[in-house]
Amino acid sequence: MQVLALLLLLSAFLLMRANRLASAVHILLVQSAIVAAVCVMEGTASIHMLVAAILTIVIKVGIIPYALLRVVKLLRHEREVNPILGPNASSLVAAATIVLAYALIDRTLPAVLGWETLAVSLSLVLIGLLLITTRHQAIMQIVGLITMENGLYLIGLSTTHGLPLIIELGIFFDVLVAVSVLVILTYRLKKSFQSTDTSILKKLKG
Amino acid sequence: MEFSLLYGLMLLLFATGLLITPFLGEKLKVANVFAHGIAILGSLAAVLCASFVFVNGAQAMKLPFQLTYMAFSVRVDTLSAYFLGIIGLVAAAASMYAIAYGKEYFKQRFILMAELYLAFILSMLLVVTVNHVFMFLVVWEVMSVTSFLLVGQENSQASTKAAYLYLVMTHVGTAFIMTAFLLLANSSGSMEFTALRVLGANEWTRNIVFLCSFIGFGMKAGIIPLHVWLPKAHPAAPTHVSALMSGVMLKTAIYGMARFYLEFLGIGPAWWGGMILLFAAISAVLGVLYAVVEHDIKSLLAYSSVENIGLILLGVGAGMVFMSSGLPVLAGLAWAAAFFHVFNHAVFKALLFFGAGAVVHATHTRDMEHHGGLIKVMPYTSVFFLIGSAAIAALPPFNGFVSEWLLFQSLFALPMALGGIGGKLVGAILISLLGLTGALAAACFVKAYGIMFLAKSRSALTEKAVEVPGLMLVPMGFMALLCLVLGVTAPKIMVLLHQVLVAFFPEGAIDGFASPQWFILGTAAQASGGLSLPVLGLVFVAGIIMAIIFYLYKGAGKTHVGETWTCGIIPNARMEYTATGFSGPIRRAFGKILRPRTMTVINANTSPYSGRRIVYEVHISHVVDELVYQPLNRYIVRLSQFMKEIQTGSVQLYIGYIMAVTVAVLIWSTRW
Repeated sequence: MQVLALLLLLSAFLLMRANRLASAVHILLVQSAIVAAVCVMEGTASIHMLVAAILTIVIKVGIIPYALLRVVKLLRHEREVNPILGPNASSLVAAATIVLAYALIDRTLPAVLGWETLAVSLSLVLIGLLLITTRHQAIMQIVGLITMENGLYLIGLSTTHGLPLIIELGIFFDVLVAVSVLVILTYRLKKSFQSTDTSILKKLKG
Repeated sequence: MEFSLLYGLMLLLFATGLLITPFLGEKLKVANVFAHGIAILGSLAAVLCASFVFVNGAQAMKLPFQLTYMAFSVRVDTLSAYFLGIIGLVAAAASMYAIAYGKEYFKQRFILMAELYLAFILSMLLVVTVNHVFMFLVVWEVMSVTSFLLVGQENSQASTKAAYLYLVMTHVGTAFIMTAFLLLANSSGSMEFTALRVLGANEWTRNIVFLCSFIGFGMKAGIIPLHVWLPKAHPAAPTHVSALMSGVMLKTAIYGMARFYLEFLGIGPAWWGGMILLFAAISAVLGVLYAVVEHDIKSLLAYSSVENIGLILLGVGAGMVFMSSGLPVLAGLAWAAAFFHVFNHAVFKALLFFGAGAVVHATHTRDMEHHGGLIKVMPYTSVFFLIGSAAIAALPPFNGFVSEWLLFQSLFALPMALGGIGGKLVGAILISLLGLTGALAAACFVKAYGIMFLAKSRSALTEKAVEVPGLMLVPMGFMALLCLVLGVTAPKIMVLLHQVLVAFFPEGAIDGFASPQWFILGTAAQASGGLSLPVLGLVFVAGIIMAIIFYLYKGAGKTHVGETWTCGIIPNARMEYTATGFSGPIRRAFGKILRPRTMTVINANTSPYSGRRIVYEVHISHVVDELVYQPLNRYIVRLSQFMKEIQTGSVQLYIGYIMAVTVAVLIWSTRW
């Protein structure tokens, strides 16, 4: 369990350092696979959790990375050239974020079973947000969004040991729709502006 | 006959129209007849529903499909039925008119217009019949949005601007209405109209509900100072829609107020009624003043709607004052006067809009300065417009006279309820203001009729005018007939209004008001010797007969046909009285309020001896615009300048805000 949590944190760190789009998507793929593994471990092989894990694998390890990689192939010359926070600064901030998350969870829910998973998932959420706020590339922001979503999913998992299946289905569907819309938007962005740098969206402002 | 069958028939008709019309896309003529024909039938079904309720008492039903939190239940009591009947009657006439008038829009998204028109009528019919807060708000919004789109139908810059102004204002109004309803629902624990009460709630809640509902519905009704959208939006819409908006849509706001003040809120403190009286008086006087100086015929009618809403609200306000001072008979009378005027205004304002639309249809201009002499080419239209003008100027034997008469009667009794020297003074001032309004309204419509139809043609546009087709004349004729019928059968209408109001007062408390004594000149003691309306009507008829007898006795006399003597010059259109000239004395007399700015441009290049070209313009300044809306506008612009600093347009920064808040909340939640 702790190994998986550490792997998750590692994946988040790597994401903060990645500047090639394809590698970021690959890291995300691995991260989602770890989430699925956590799902199986936590659920101790109940049918419900198995279904959730399978859904995670199909959607977050299968469809979403596939769709993202397809777009990335089109964006051959795109990479995160000049992020708001560089790789080293990002790593430092990410480390600070993890400390903050652990401290917060330690203060509020010290004795809860699986508080470690909770802390890790909170740091995932915050790092996802950080990723969105400090990167210019649309793909990187989508990756940040999925990271956040993974973190939120883990929070749900570790506090409730599985939400009702219908709600989980809803969440998965939500993510799927969101990502397909975002991929389409990225594609349009490339078409209209020859670039997927979101800072050019400032031009839309009147 | 089941009520649900009739109501279902109405819904079914409109649903058929809405579903099938889009498929007639290519055959515009068929679509025109089909959509508007369905609208006529549906509106008549609504009238049937209303009469069914008046015969058999209040009806309630639930539709078979129900959603949680969105119970579609219908309750038609006599109050709903009264408004339902008015909407149905006017909408049926307007739809018939639209068959002929709609042809002008064949090239301008016609199918869309017909669809919106159907949805607009249906939403108005639903507004007055649904029995559930949520459903009410939904259909209210549908009504606002469809009318917004119809205002923007002509797609000109002016109409688009008017439409957006309307959209903003009406949504602000809806926000207030929503607040009022939710506060009510909260304190009564139910969303059904039948259960909404705040009698048990504290004073504060009741006062806030009152204020919110007054502002919200007042926005829709167009009381001054919330009226700014009305004179812009109503003229911009196609004429049959303008007729419905002015004649009927404004009345849904009166319906909302009646529901709140008669049923939900119960008897309130006297200042509620007083406040309504204040704004009603302002709306009536200012509305008619702006109408007089207007020379765009449809804007003139729109301002006159503001005035008439003021008159209706004078009745409502007086009714509320009487209710809070425990005079139910007088309260009933005032409310009845208001409701009667609702009906009357719907009829004659629709008639006048139809007439104005016919003139616009024939001349293609709304500017009265270009009309003139139309009585010769459009005889039927001019007669119907004259009847409408007489009715709105409150001349007997037409309907406007009766309701304004009743309004006077109830205001005369207002000092009784107010008490104290101040109250008596206020009562007297209100009566004189009502008198002033009536006189100005008469001047306004003398001007409208005289400039448009009499004298000689003022421009080439009117010379080519011909009478409009029969399909436009029939609804006008019907409305004109209704003006007369409502005026002559007033006591019958009073019985009807008694039925409307009786449920909202204690048993037997208002039985007195439907008696004929209110139609009699003088006090009740002289009742046997007074003048009643039928007698007035008889005098009128007798006068006509006398005139005919004189005519037959004396013969036609000698007739010389020739030009008017103008000292040897052949009179031309530029010597005629203009609309601006006609309203000149009024503009000067009320100069303090209207503050006209005149601008004279003289072309100095021409010689003063051979005649100079002079352009003369008058602009009226609108007090409310200058005192309220322009400062508000400036303030909002300044505020948005400030907001611009935060809104850089960078996605990262926006999400950064979210992140900052998230982290702050997380930290705060651990109470460090």
